[in-house]
Amino acid sequence: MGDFEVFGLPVSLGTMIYQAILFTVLVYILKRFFLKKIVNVMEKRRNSIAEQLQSAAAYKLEAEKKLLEQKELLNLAEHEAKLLVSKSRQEAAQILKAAKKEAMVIRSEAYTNKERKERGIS
Amino acid sequence: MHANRPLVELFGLTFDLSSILTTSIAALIVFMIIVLCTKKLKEGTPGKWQNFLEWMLEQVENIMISSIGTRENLFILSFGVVLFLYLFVANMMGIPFSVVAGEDSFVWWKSPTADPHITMTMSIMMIAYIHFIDIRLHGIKKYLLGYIKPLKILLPINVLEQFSTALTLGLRLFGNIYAGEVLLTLLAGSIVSGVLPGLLAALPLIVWQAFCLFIGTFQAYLFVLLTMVYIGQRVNEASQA
Repeated sequence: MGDFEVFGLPVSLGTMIYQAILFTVLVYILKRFFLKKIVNVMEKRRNSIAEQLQSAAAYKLEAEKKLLEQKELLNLAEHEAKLLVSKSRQEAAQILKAAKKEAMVIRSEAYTNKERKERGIS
Repeated sequence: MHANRPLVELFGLTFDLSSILTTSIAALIVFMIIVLCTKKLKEGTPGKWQNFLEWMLEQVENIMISSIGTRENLFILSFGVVLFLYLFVANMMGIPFSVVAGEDSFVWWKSPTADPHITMTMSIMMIAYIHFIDIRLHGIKKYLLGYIKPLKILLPINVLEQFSTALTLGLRLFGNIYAGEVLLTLLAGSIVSGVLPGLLAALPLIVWQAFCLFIGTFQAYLFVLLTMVYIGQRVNEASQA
């Protein structure tokens, strides 16, 4: 039985036609309704990952820039603080010197006063 | 051991009922697998099933990139995936058991790919699609001129090549699966013939089933790979010309 023969072998054409139609329909339906969706989802994910990587790189650059800025500011602040401390030390030394001088003057005055009094009494 | 096919004649065409039954079931299984895999699609972390299908799609995309050079073709991608799943399911169907029933010992359940009708239909479809791509890319004139390249005298060889490509593509799959089924039937048949032969055949039977699993997977993969390679030959000819 068979529709025609190839090298003496019967070929059942109906099976082949059925198979061809079955596979074509299967591929068409799956492509149209199911695989399209999942491929789109994969593509979207790929894009979003690429975007995120890009933005991460941009954020990294920005962060590095900010870090450099902060370091500069810190250096400046340290310098200023040192300047302030040395200036205030100088001032303090001057004040101390003046205070000592004044104290000496007061002390010597007190001495002369005391001597004068003693002389006056005796 | 010789078994008959349940043939039915309808509208002047012959139908092999067992092939129709098994291919329909294989198609149904593939359909259900893909429906299951795409039921809950998530753009974030994919679920178990979605991950499986995405892995499969990526494998076929890799084949496409290495043989065609692009993955931006939804039709080739989807028929690659469906073809692989379909052939894989079809190759696996005959491994656990086969059903021979009826007075005329019709084979009702077997691998549909152990029937040359099925594999030859698939390979003829693939080759027809390849020629279709060629004509669409190059135009009919260049396509026909391709048969007398590089020399006019090679025309018969070029024509013969197309037939042999279709024949080898289909018969390779058929031969591998059919040989596997024949040996499985023989080994399973020895169980009926006594306790000692049955015990002796049990271990080779299991080993052979495992080997058939491997062969079935590999042949399905090879069929897809070769189809992609043939498409790639046609497509890349266009870029050279």
